[in-house]
Amino acid sequence: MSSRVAELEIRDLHVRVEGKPIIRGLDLKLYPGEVHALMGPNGSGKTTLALALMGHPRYEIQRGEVLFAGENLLALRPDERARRGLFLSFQYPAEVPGVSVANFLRSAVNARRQFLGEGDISLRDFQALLKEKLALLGMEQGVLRRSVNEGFSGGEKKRHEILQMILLRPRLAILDETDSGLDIDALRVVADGVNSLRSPRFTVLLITHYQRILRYLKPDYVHVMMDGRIVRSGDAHLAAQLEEKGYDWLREELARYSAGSEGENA
Amino acid sequence: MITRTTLSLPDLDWEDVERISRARGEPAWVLGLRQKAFRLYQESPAPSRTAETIPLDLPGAPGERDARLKGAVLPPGSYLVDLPAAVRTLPDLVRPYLFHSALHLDEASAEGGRELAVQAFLWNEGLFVYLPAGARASRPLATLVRVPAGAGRLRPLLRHLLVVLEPGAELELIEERRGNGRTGGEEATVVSTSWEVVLKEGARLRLGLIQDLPPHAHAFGLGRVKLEKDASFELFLAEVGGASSTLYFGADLVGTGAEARTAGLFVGHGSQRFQLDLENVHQGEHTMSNLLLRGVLGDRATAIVRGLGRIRSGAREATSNQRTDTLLLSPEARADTIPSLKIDEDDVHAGHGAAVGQIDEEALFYLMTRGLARPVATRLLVEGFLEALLTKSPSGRVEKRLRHLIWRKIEQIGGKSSDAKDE
Repeated sequence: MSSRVAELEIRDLHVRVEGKPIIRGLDLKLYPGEVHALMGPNGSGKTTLALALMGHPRYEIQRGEVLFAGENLLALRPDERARRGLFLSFQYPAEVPGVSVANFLRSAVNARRQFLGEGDISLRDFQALLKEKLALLGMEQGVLRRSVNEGFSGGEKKRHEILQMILLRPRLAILDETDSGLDIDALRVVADGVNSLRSPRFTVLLITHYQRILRYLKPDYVHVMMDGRIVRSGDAHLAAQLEEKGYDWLREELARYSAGSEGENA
Repeated sequence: MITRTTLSLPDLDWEDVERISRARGEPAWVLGLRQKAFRLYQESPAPSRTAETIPLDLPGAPGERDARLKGAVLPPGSYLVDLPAAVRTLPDLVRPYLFHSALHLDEASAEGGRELAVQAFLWNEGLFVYLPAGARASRPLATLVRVPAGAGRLRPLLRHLLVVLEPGAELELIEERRGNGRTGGEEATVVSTSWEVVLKEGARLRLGLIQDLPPHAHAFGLGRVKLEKDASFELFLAEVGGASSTLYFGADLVGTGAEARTAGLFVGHGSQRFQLDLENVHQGEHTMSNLLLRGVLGDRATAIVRGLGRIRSGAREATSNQRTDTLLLSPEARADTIPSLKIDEDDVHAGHGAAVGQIDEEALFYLMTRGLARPVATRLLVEGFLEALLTKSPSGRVEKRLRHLIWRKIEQIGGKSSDAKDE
């Protein structure tokens, strides 16, 4: 492998939630510009990984290391992670009553711009930028006056997450099932949104259950997570195999392998 | 246990007040009212030992008239007169109402009765506002009350506002209580205000009361509104200042179809104490009252909020609702919210609710994952929490002013020390 600095490097990560171990020795490396898909059955720890990387206070890191562009990610508060360019598109984004989307987006954009040394965006420029990006995602202007995520449909929430991602221009985006519950048109809009950022300086970790989004967002690597670890990595063919045969096939194969290795040890 | 605040008159006796009253040339009936009030004060039960009792001095001479009122324009036949002058020049209009209509000395109840007695005994300034039948004020009346500054020890301010709207009259009145612009080193002082409002048939009043007193002031407020048939009263309260603020406000919905709506917010930091007692008494049929309060408390601030909806027998098809929500920003902040309904009539619609909660951690995390530092995210959540009330402000100007006040308050919460904890 090259001597490039990985955009994200996770080494032997162990994460507990309310005392229960969920991530149990996970290793993963993403290089700049790559798109990685992370698949796996429900309860395998995908969302836990996403929230732990973002610094959710309920997710306790027991062991391991995470480097984000060479910097110790785990030493940073969630807002510092965000300002440095880490973005999470939530599976279930929180509602923020009374805070308008416009006010929220402007605060977030200015926080990121401040880190990038760009200074606050003018109201005029911000309005123009919003207009363009809303159109790109097929969103109404009216959304700006609504409270953040309050009363949003599933699809509106996902588009809103992608809108934030586009406005914040992160280095690394973790998309946690952003494709779930979207119809085919919405899925394409979301994928177009992500693709609009594709560059050697934009890396994606895409958590998904379905192969269909991978038709629009071509992954360089596909990983399968089970019981808190990555058990198999491959390319897009792996996703196709999973779609066709389900996870049982992989589970059986792993069981055979581990039975075999136990036999060898004995 | 949350500490309550009340008043006492340790060094005052009747002769002091009589002397001042005579020096001002007050009519005998005013002196009679003061005398009656003093007797009521003496008869009032001693405050509970856990309450903080603020001793009162004699008030000073009335301050300069609020400059904002000089340019006020009211419809023909209206009066806007300083109360000390009005008792002399307009006795026929003032006497039937002063401490005799909405606020009733004869009916001083246990709750707030002591404060009412002190107020009626000692009031030294105020306003009389009168609108004749059908008169509609085209612009809001805005008045500013500033903490008086004396040489050395600060004098208390005791102010009474009497508003009488004849049938069909309409008025909007906004009163803000503030510091005198000086800061630091002041001794504790008292700003006590009472509001007595009579709304005759079909009259409408919107009243905005903004309490932004400096940290050395103890605010007392006592308000009562009497609503006749189809009268409408909208009260907007903002309580942000003072060392303590004690407010009793009640509406008597006497006439059929009368409506009283209250929206209020309170924001406390440091060791501020709020005590809000709000009452709607339904006597008339088809009367409606609604009470909506939201508060935010940081540091060691406390609040006792009591909302009472009382529906008397005969108030058929009355509707009374209330809701109080309090957000606590620190483990030492305390809120005691006590909603209650007393219903003597079967045919009514009534509901109440109260909730005390903390910042939604998931929402806070969400905002932080968008790059907002914890204090910024917290401020946004607090503003969001109060947003529903801010939009009920009596005017855009008031709303803007309140947003500014709340912004300042949220900055004060936590001070330097708790910021350091977060970083």
